[in-house]
Amino acid sequence: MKKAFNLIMLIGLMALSFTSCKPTDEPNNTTSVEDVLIGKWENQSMLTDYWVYKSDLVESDISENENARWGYCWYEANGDEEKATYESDVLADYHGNGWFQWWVDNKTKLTYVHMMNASEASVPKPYTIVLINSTTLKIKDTFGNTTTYAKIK
Amino acid sequence: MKRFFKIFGITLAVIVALVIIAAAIVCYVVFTPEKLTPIVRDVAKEYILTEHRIGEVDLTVFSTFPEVGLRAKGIYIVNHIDGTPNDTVLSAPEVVATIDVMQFLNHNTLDIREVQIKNANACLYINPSGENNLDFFPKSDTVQTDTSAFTLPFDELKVGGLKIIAKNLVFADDKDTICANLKDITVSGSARSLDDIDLSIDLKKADIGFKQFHFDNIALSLESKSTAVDINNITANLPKLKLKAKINNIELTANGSAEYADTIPMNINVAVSECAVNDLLALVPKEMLPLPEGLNIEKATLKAEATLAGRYSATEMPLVDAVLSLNDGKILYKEVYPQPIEIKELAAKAHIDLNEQANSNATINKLEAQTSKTSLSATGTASDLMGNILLDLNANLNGQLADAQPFLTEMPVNLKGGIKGTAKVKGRLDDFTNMKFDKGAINGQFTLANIDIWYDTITVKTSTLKANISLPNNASVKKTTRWAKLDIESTPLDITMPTLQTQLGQTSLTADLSDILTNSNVLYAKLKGQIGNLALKMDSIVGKVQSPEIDAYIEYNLADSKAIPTADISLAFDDLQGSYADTKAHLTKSSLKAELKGTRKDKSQPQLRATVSTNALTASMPDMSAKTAALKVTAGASYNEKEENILLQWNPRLSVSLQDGLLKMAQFAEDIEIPSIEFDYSNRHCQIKKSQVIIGNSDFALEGKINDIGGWLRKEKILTGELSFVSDHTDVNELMALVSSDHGSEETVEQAQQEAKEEPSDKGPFLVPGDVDVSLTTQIKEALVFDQVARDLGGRLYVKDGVLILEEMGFICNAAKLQLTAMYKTPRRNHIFVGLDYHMLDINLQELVNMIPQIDTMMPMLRSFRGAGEFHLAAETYVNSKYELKTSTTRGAVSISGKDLVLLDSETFGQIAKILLFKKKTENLVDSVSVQATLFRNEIDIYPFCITLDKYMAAVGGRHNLDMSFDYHISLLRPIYLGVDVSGTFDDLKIRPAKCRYAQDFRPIIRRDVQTQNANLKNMIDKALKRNVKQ
Repeated sequence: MKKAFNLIMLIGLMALSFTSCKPTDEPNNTTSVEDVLIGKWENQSMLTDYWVYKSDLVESDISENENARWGYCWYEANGDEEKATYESDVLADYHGNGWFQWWVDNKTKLTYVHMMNASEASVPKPYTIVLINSTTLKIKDTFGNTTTYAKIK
Repeated sequence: MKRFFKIFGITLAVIVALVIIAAAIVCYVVFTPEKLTPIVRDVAKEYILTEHRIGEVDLTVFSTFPEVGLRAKGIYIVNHIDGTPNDTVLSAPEVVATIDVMQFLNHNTLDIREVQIKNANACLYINPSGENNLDFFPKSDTVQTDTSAFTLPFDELKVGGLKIIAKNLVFADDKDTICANLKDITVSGSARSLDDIDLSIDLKKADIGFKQFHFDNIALSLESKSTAVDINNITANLPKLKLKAKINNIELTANGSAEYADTIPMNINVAVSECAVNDLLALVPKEMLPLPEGLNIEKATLKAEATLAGRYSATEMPLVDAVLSLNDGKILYKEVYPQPIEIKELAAKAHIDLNEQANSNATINKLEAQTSKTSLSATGTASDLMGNILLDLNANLNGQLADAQPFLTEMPVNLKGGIKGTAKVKGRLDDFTNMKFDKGAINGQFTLANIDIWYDTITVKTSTLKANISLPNNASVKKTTRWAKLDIESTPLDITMPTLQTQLGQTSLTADLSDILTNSNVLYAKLKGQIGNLALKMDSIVGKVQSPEIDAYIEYNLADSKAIPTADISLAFDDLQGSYADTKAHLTKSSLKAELKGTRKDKSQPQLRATVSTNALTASMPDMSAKTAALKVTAGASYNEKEENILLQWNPRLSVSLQDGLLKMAQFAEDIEIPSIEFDYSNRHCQIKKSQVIIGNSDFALEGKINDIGGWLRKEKILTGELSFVSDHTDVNELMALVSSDHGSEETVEQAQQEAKEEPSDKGPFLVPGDVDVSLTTQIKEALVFDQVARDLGGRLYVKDGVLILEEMGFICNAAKLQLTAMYKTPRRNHIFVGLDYHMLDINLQELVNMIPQIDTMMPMLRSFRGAGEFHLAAETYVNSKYELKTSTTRGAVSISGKDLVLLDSETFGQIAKILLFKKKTENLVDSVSVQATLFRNEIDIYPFCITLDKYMAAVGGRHNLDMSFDYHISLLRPIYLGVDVSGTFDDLKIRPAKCRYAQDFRPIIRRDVQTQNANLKNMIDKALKRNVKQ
């Protein structure tokens, strides 16, 4: 019996350990994941790579997903002019290169659809939210690579 | 004998003594004054019917011996008419009348041989109504003898002669306004009757005034035979008159007939001996001088003969026909010419008619005049001498132009050079003195030598010039140039103006001119002719023209030296070389029709309209050169110095048609060959009607319209346009390099220059002009794009707001049908956007990899396929000035699908087939493959796709990074489930068995969420990519 209890406890611990894949600082009932995401984030493994999540919903003629919102990102390359893009560059390409649609399904499935200027085609990128709170966002792609962002505003 | 003389002498003495005694007895005893005086007074009363007084009368024998005379001691006759200057008609201290005693004794006739009045003072007066103060004599039909009181002691009275020696004689005729004061006059008359008197007058000094003439200090002697006198009416008829007179120092003789009556008819020949003209002119009242105002004769000698014929009265003047000879004259006529003019000789005839002044005229038989260095000879006529003299002269001139300068004192002119020629001059002297030469008629032929003329701001120089001049120029078409016509044949000629310097070669020119002598502000000239060579310099404009034929109309504003001359010019020439600042042009066998004038707002700014046709043209500017064969340009231009760009400065309006052109531009590396082109250009728009152009490796026909060029040059507007581009071969790489901008669309020129300096490379990126909105419809048979050759390329190219767009450009490349929509924009030199929407249908996958090597990077497994497929790509990224990717901006999606593909080469296939135990019949074919991949930054995500070969079915998916690391998963789905992860790099490859991750992806019914998401994304990518494919 004790052996069976230990087995159940082990399974339970394993199950608990699996739950670590869920956000540890899960937003409460009044604050959704989207609300926390909205704002400006900086990539911690690639500094000066900024991501802004806007609350603006994407127009229905652009996206079939009614929850899709606009966001944009740019990389200032630590001031290296030959690699840098600036927020003003992205804003000049309104809803074009640098812009993305984003939405969250089931509180953890974060999907980006990156827009293009030259084509109606776009680049979808699915991620899983590993951690999100008011200061930190950690996401994992389908290949298991994680990226951490710090909210700066 | 002695005794005879003694007896004769005694006898004679006795006779004489007896005679003396008898005379003494007669004088002192018989005819005593007491007896004679009453008799004479009584007689006088009969003949002098006015108040008079006769002094004591005695008989004299000795003083009048051998005649007997009656001598009255004093006589005066009182004037009875009002208005006389003296109160007596006659007063004399003594009057002696010699009497024929025998006539008296034998026939009782008082025959007075002569009445002699000595030291008389007389006054003869005629009042305005014609009454005279001599009408006291009884009229012959009214003489009545008063027998009651006195009986004449004779039956008849005869007066045979009269001699008056007068100290003063005044003759005043208020009717005919004659007044004469005569001094020391001796009048002798011998009368056979009153109708037949031989009259002699000897006058020492007289002042005579006529109506218009007044002569002082006249001495004359006059003889008049057969003179008829009517004393009562003071009339006289002098049929045979001889006069010698000396007036001042002028001696004249006159012969002829005259009459003194109510009018004075005369026919007299007058000869004036050689005299000074001024002495003669002094006799003529100034108002009657037939000389222009201001003409001053300093000296001249005159000899003249004249005939006076006609009547002199209050209303009439006799006609004068004179022959004049004038020598050694020197005149000054400052109104015409300020320097003295020597009249060496003047021979002339004159007809003076003071009654009809217009009839007065003169004929100049010979005139030789000389100024300082110029001689003039002339013949001709001058009519209307008393009025505005009309000259008709033929003149020969030989002298220096400098002598003509004083004519032009009020004009800014300086003349140098010699002149020789002839002229016909006809016109009014007043017009000539007022410089209105065109009112008359002047025709001259002159040869000028060593000319150096400065007029206001114009100088003209030449060695020899033949000129024919005609004034006025009635043949001129232009009203403004009817002043004169000038035909010129000249040796090389230099003309310099403030803004224009001109050198003319051998010149043959006809010029119609406006009045250059009056103070008109504008000179007009119509020029037509041929010039050997012409060289022009106007500010920085320099031109040389060979053999030009010119037809020009020019207006030159003298009042405004900055004003551009107005010119309407037709010019044909063999060769022209011109330059404007750094711009140079060379034309051969050309014609030019041009209109040049100042702009309406600013006369100093040139406005030009021109049509140029040329057989060949070469032109060069600092950054450009051009060369053409046949060229026709219709041009208009107005200069605005405020602008900086040459096109804005001149605002050209061109219509150009040219053949075989070659254009070299500094900013274009390649020459531009133009076999033919027709276009209209203005700063508003440029319309290319048709063209054939070759630039480097490209040839094309360009047509269409470019708008708002001026606004674009001013950076106020964008350049808009729509063009069609038809080409057999186009090198897109070259053309893009040619039209690259020098700064990005969202950066300033300064920023661009700074960045360009920092760039180490020689070549910067292609920057799209930001102020251009031009579309180009292309139809290209063959185009070189990068290193690919595209055929049958058609579509539209836009350049707008710094963005270059290739819109649905369809073409065939390496046997594949391609469709490309591309976007290229350059907001900053280091931030250049490149985007593609690229579709290749029926493309050989191997060629695809060759065409787009980057595909090999994204999907290296494609190298393993052979065969046709479809390729759809949407990709974009920003690059820096070196065209290096900014991976943070890289986005892409690709879809590749193919059927019946050959996998690998046969040898490799054989090895694999052996390892995997393929059936013997298995072909080296893959039924189908459909791959979707995305690119985000440096991550290439290949969505799982399935390959079926023989008994095997496998699914492949994964990620490939741009750093060439990868993480793939291969799921073998048939005949068994087996998974393999392949990761790392090609140098460090890691292959691990793994769970078969795509086991359910290709079994739709039982898909799990993840696999479903993959399928959705694949569909989304594929659908979006194919949406742009043009059917």
